Order: sequence, then C-alpha cells, then structure tokens
Amino acid sequence: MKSHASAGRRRIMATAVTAIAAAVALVASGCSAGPSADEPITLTFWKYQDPVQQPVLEALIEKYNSEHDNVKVELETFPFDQYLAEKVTTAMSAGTGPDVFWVSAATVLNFAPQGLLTPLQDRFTEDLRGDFLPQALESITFGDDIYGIPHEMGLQGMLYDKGLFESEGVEVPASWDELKAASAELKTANRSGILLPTNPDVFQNFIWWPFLWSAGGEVVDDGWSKALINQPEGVAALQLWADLMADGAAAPKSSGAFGDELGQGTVAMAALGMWPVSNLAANYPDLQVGAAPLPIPDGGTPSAAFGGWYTAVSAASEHQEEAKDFAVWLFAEDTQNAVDLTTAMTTLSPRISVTEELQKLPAFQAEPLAGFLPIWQTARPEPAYPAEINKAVTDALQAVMFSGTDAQTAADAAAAAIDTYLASPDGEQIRSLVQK
Amino acid sequence: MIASSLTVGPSPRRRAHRGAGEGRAAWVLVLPDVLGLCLIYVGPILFTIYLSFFSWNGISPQRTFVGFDNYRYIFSDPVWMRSLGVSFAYLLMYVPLVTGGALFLAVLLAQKLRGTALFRTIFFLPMAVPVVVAAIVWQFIFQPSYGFVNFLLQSVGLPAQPWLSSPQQALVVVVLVSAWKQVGYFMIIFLAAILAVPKDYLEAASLDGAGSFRRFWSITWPTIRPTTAFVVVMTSIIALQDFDQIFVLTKGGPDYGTYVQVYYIYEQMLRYLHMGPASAASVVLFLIIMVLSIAQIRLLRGGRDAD
Repeated sequence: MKSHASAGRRRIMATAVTAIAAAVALVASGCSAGPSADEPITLTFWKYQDPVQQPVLEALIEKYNSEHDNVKVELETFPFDQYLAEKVTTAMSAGTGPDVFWVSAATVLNFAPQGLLTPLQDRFTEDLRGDFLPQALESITFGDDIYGIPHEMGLQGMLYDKGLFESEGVEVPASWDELKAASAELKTANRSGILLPTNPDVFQNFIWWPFLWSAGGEVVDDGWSKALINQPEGVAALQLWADLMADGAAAPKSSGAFGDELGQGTVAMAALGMWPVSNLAANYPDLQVGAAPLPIPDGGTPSAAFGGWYTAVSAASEHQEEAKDFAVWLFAEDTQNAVDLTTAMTTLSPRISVTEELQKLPAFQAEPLAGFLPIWQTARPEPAYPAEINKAVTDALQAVMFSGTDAQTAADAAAAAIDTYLASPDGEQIRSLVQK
Repeated sequence: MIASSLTVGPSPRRRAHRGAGEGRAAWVLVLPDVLGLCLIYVGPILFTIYLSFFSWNGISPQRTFVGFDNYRYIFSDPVWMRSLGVSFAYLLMYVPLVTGGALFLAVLLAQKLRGTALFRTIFFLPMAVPVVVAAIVWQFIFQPSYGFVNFLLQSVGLPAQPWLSSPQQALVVVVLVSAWKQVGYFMIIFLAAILAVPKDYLEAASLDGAGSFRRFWSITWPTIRPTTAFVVVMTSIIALQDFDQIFVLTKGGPDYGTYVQVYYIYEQMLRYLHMGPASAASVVLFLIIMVLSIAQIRLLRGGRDAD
C-alpha cells in the first residue's frame, strides 16, 4: 500500500517536471527563432484596420515581395481605436515594434523627439521634394529631419443629403449664420441639422480646426511661445459649436468619422470630408451625397485641413536600409501605387503628380468629389500638436458643448493649460523642434 | 496549507519522513501557479510601484528618479481630483445597484416556480457576452436622438433625455451597462447561499406564523451575511476598476462625465506617455481599493461576530 502510494507520488512529480520542462522548452524555442543566412529578412509593417485600404495594401505588398528576393514584408493591422496608443506604443516600449508603420500627425510628436523614428530625408531627392505640396512635407519635418512619407490628403468639407435639401428647398449654407438657420430648419424629432464629432479625442479637434482658422484664429503663435486660442476668433469658433449643440441643431452623439448618420437619415449635414464618400456610396446606395466647403463667418477665409497619416520607419528596426527602401517604394516612387490607394480611399494625395492623375479619373470629376478639387493646393495639413495641447482644445470643446460652459471661460482655461505646457521643459523641447 | 507546513529548516524527523515526498510533489505542483501569479500580478505591481518614483515616457531607455514628484503631480492635477469624484459617484451607484439587484433576483429565483432554470440562464447570459460587443448594442439603446429608451419614454408621454450626451446621465448609463453584465454572476452566488439556508429554520418560523418577508428578514438575511459581505467587497473592486464599456460608449466624456480613475491612468500612460504619474495614480488606486476592502470586510464581518 505504502509503496504503491509513493510510486503514485513519484509519477505525479515526474509528470509535473516533464510538463514544466516541456513548457520551458517551448518558450525557449519560440524566442530563439532567428533568420538563417539564406532566408530573406522579414519586415513587419503595421497599420490600423480599414476595409477599403486592405486589398490595395495587400496587392502592393505582394508585388513588392515578388520583386524582392531578399526581403519579405508582412502586413499586420489592428483595430483603429487601439492601434497607435496601445499597440504601437506598448510594442515599441517592449522593443518588439514594427519596422515600418503608419503614424498620425496627432501622435508623431510622441515618437519623433524621442529618437524613435528614422529620419528619411536622405531618400528625398530634389525631384521628390518638389513633387510634394510644401506644407505637407513641412508638417512632418522637425529640425532638418523628415520623419514620414505623407500618402493621403482627405480634405475636409461639408457633406450633405442632397435629396433632402432639394425636397425641402433649403440652400446649402455658406456662412455660419446660414449654417445655424439651415440646421434649425432641417431639424425634426428624428433628425438633427448637422453632425459634429462629439467624442473627446483628436478627431474632434481635427474637424474644429477649419472653423478656428476661417475665423482668423490660431491655437498658438508662430513661435510656439504662447496660446492664442482665447483671442476673440477662437472664442467665436467655440461659441458656434456651443450654439449648434445648445439649439439641438447638432446631433447629440456622433458615431465616428464616417458619417453613417447621413446614410441613416438622422442628420442633414455632416462636417467631415472626402474620406467617407466611398463608404457612404457602398453602404447607402440611395443616398445622394452633396459636398460643399465648410461654412465660414462673415468676412472669414475659407479653410480646410487634411488628415495626416504618414509611413514611418522605426529607429529600432534591425533592417534600417531595407525598411527605408520599402517605405519609400510604397508611396513615394511609382505614382500608380499612391493612385491605387487614394482612389480606393476617395481622397487626394499631397503628391502633386498623384493628384494630377486622380483629377483625370471619372470618380473625381463627378460630384461629390469634384467639389473638393478647387481647394486642394491651399489646404493646411493637420497640425502636429503634442497631446497636452490637443487635450486642452478638446477639453474646451467638451465643456462648451456638453456642460454649457461660457466660451471665453473655456478658451481661457485652454490657453492657461497650453501656456503652462509651453513654459515646461517638454514645451521647450517641442519649440526647438518645430522652429524651422 | 501544505506549503506552509513544509517551510525550510530542520523539522522533527517523524514529520519530515512522512511529509517530504508529498511536500516536494506539492511544491512542484503549485510552482506553475505561483510562478504565474508572480509573473502576472506580483511582478507588474512591484514594477508599477518602482516606476511611480521615476520620470519615464515608456519608450526611451532612460528613466530619471524623481522621488515623490509623480504623487505631487497627480494630487495637484485638477483632472485627477475630478476623476476621483467620478469614480466615487460610480461606486455609490454601482454597489447598491448590483448587490441589491442580485439579491432581489436571487430571492425571486429561490421560489420554486416554473421556469426558474430558464430565468437563471437569462440573467446569467450577459456574463458570457464580451463587454465591448454589449456596449455597442447599449449605445443604440441609449442613443439620444433615436435610441430605444427615448422611444419608450416618448411613447408614454415623457420627455426624451440626453443620456450619452449629458455628463451626469452618461455616468448612469455606463453604470447600468456594467451592472447589467455583472448582476447575473452575483445572483448565482446569492442564490447558492439562499438555497443553503437550513429548511428547518424556515419551516419552524412558518409554524410560528412568520410571513415570507419576516422569514427573509429574520432568517435568510442574517444567514447569508458573509455572502453579502463578499458581494459588496467584490462589486466595490469592480466599480473602481471598470473601464471597457466607458472606452466604447463615452471615451471618458462628455466633458469628463465618465472619466473614472482607470481612464485617467489610461490617458496618462498611453496618450501622454507619462508613465510616472500613471504608475503613481495606479498605486494610489490600489491603496484606495485595499483600504476600502479591508474596512468593508471588518465592518461586515464584525457585524456577524456580534450576532
């Protein structure tokens, strides 16, 4: 009996030891898998998930891999909400980040000043530099270094339900006053006049910038020495959004950046831009989308920003040259690559040669995309503000839209937060980077 | 227990002889769990405490020791203070709602009626739905302009409410969504406790003429007190750690209305790359939860001992 029991115990122990040993071996073998001499090197390429971009990028990567025996590019995509903040940041801090990845204007300052991105200016020939809109390259240049390759230019504008405007006999608003009047007129129990972004994030700021700029306002002065957002122009732009919300003219909650509310008939207009056009056409074939410039205040200047995503190379990549080769090949060499991507996305490109090609395509000559063409050369890229400045602006928007805070009070609070940041060592560092 | 009886050092020969083989086997068997716990919980907790004394962006190799600066930073940050208020408002709504709701459902299901198994499943089902998926559905239900709840309100003549576009009501919505998910789990726990109450007591009380409310109040309620204590402690911990449905439904807004402590930590860490303040806020939240849990356990257990 006794020996039997101890044999049982020995067996349990032996099993447990074997199991642990097997587990350890498994982990160890997983860690030690490295490239052997004759295998091609693998480059990982990360971006956010997007069904429209996916097939284009898969085809381009397949083409690249078939043309290059020594390199194999692997595409990995992540849910948009988690992509930059969680996936890229945590992977880079763990040293397991991608070789090449897409970075947004709103977050590039999290990476560039820390030396986490590889400067790419040595790949920008005179010809290539000349092919980009100067403002697009400037927005990604810090000091003398270019940190990314811009590949899209989703211009902002007002999308509207054309059938509704025609049947109601309402004119498309061109001024802020007309916007308020039209929103109020088209509002019903189940429909809001206009869709503005409501979530507290950088997309809300992005859509608000042209309202600020068209009033003549700026967030900070040219030298990034002090906040200007609490000047009368900034306060007026905040007040407009507050009024639209308070009147019930604006939708109380927005679904995101793709304006599905237009297709569902729950809003008459949406302050968005070119990028939802392909999705709206695919998902809501009955909807007739109209496009117009964003309304401006009396005596204001028409303004639009374009969204910023860039292809960047991680400074931690073990294959710097190959990663740079691929990043440049993707959207800075053959025009057709960029044409394929932007055609699918229904956006223009900050590369002049690409947008010239796009303008010849039927889709861009027809409404609603044709409405965006006249403004593309003067549009401003999304400013690369650090998170602290973006947050101060979002806070002001949230306060005036949802808590009924007075616009001047909210603007003063934002200015105080921005000035505090600009006076800090971090602010000092950013100032030295952005000054040309 | 096994492990503690086998700590190092000389032990009586008799005990050693009887226990050594078993002990070694026990150690080997618990080792994966202990290692797992150390790796997954203890390690990160210690690392967080360590990081709370450093200035670090989470990515670059250099960290600077800054003493208690990160703690000073969060205590003087008005956003942190505001977030603390939101977390306590969340706690005050969530704990009574889930504890009371779970107890109420458990009492109903403890009646031997037809279909209780079906209802038990229905109430428990939300536990099995990923919270992110559920939150997307709830978003439609509480949509301010065309949501189902407003449709119901309006159909009985009540005014539509802003829900997710009001800082105050949005907090109520995120509490409801989490409560909806958790209530079934705690219902099962209460139900097990109620069914374990000795039948003799209840029958004796019936014979003495006690009504159903009196039987519950005088017999069931005192008997299940340890379970109630457990549920209150657990729901308090959950309330102070909730995040997922807030991330999906409100992103902490509108205007900080749902900006709970974990959202503050999340943004400090992943939006600003302020690992130091994020770690300090995590340590403070850890301490708040620990103190609150100990106080609750003492209070509720102390009550039972006095009985």
